[in-house]
Amino acid sequence: MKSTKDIAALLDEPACEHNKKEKSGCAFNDEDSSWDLYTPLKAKLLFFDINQEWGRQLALTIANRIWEVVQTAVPWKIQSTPGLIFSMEGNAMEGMTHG
Amino acid sequence: MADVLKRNKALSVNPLKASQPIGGSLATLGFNRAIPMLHGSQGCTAFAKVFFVRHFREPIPLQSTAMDQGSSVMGADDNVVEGIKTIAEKSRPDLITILTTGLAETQGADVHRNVRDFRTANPEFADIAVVAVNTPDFSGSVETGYASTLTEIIRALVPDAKVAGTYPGKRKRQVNVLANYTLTPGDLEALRDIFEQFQLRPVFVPDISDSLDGCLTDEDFSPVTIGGTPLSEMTTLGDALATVVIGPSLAKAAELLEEKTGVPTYSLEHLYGLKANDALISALADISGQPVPERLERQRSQLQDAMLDTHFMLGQLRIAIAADADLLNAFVALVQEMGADVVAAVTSCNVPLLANIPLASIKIGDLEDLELLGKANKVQLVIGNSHAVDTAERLGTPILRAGFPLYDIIGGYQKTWIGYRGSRQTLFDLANLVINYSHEEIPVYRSPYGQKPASELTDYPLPCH
Repeated sequence: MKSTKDIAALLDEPACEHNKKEKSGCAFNDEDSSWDLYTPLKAKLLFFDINQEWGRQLALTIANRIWEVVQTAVPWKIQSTPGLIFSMEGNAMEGMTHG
Repeated sequence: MADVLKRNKALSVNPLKASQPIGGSLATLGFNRAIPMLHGSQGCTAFAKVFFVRHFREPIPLQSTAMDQGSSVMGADDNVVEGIKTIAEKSRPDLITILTTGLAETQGADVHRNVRDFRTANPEFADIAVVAVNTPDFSGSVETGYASTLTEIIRALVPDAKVAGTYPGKRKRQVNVLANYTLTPGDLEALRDIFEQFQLRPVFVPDISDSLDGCLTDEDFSPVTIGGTPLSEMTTLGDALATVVIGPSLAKAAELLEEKTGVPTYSLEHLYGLKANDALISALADISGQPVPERLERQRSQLQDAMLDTHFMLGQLRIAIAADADLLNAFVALVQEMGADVVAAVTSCNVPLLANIPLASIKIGDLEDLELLGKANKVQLVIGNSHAVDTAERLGTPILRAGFPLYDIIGGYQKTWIGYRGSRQTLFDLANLVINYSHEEIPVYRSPYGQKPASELTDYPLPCH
């Protein structure tokens, strides 16, 4: 595994004509590009050659709040927990107050 | 949590706001044999009436004190007193509400004194309830007008427990339900069904599901509402087991009702989405002492499945919402539960709830503000009333019509948004809008490193290295 320093050294080369950067890193790294693989190729790092937009969407989906919400336990089935739901003194549960 | 951005221009472009007298009228129309009278010029009333007729597609009882240039300058007290007397004589309603407009408030009208004058001069109409409410349309919105009117009606018509001899739980199945303006007649019908599954008898205050549900009657014409909460029910509110309040805008009304009756209050912010409905069902199970019916558990599971089905379309969707605070709060909760992002939120007036809505910022403004925010944030879907349709068209996005008024669709007033079933249908509607409108898909990926024929790689420029 190469260190960050090694990778930085490998990338420290003149810029190509495409990206007009001071240093290289060229893999047609514009907004529309979805295959910026220069760094792993140059540094000989392991990488997955996949649709990066698909990967991004997948990552967002996995992190989606819906999984947490859908798996919420049925509240009236956990009412046996002492003092958790609908005590007459205070807040009953999220989304409901009881005065 | 939200940064509330105040209005920064001196005019409204494509106004979002519906005025306070409209809200006050809507609350009044939820009572049986009632009629609102707007204290202002005829135009003030005609405008409100047009909104109602186009939204509900029903004849709407609405009266005006018909202030003209003379009475606007010299005083319009007589208009109010004579107006109440005329309605009382001709229609003999159970309830008349006197709602002020911007014109009357600017003039400095004292409608409460006018009502006292009417009482003194016309004791023969003592059985008719007359409630005056200050609802200037230069401040607030339909939401605040509705809440203020409901508060004043409770103040006037619900007797104090000590005087009336009521006590909580005397009626062992009765639950009072203070319903905010976001609940449609369809919502109230669905809610009644849910309550009845717990063997409870809900008394909706007000009940537009009985007066504005689009029902043909034997009578050709009625100058007052047909259906709605009977005023006789107002005297029984103190005997109820509990009061369920839906909508933070009704907090003051709920507080007053509890103060007068001692009936314990269960407050729910809204009934959109899984968590909100879990709270409702748990509350009803608690109040009734009954187990949750299997039918409702089934509906909960159906909503969960719908959430999974629609998250492909709604997850990370950039949504703009234009609505008054209670409705905005409800929709934000619903779409955030689905993992969507509310990137533009516009409301019509500032209320304390706004600061607690989990958004980065909320703009108090109009539909032009929504359009600008939507454009800047590359919005993909708009939620708003019928006024926002043109805004959505210009943004190039689909729109989910919600709120008031809905004049360009049939049956918008009857749509059920709440409960597990209503939430499920709303998710389906949102997802279908996205599917039918955008056709957004991830482009086919061809690896530049794949061993493909040259013809298949021509879409991609070759790397320079």
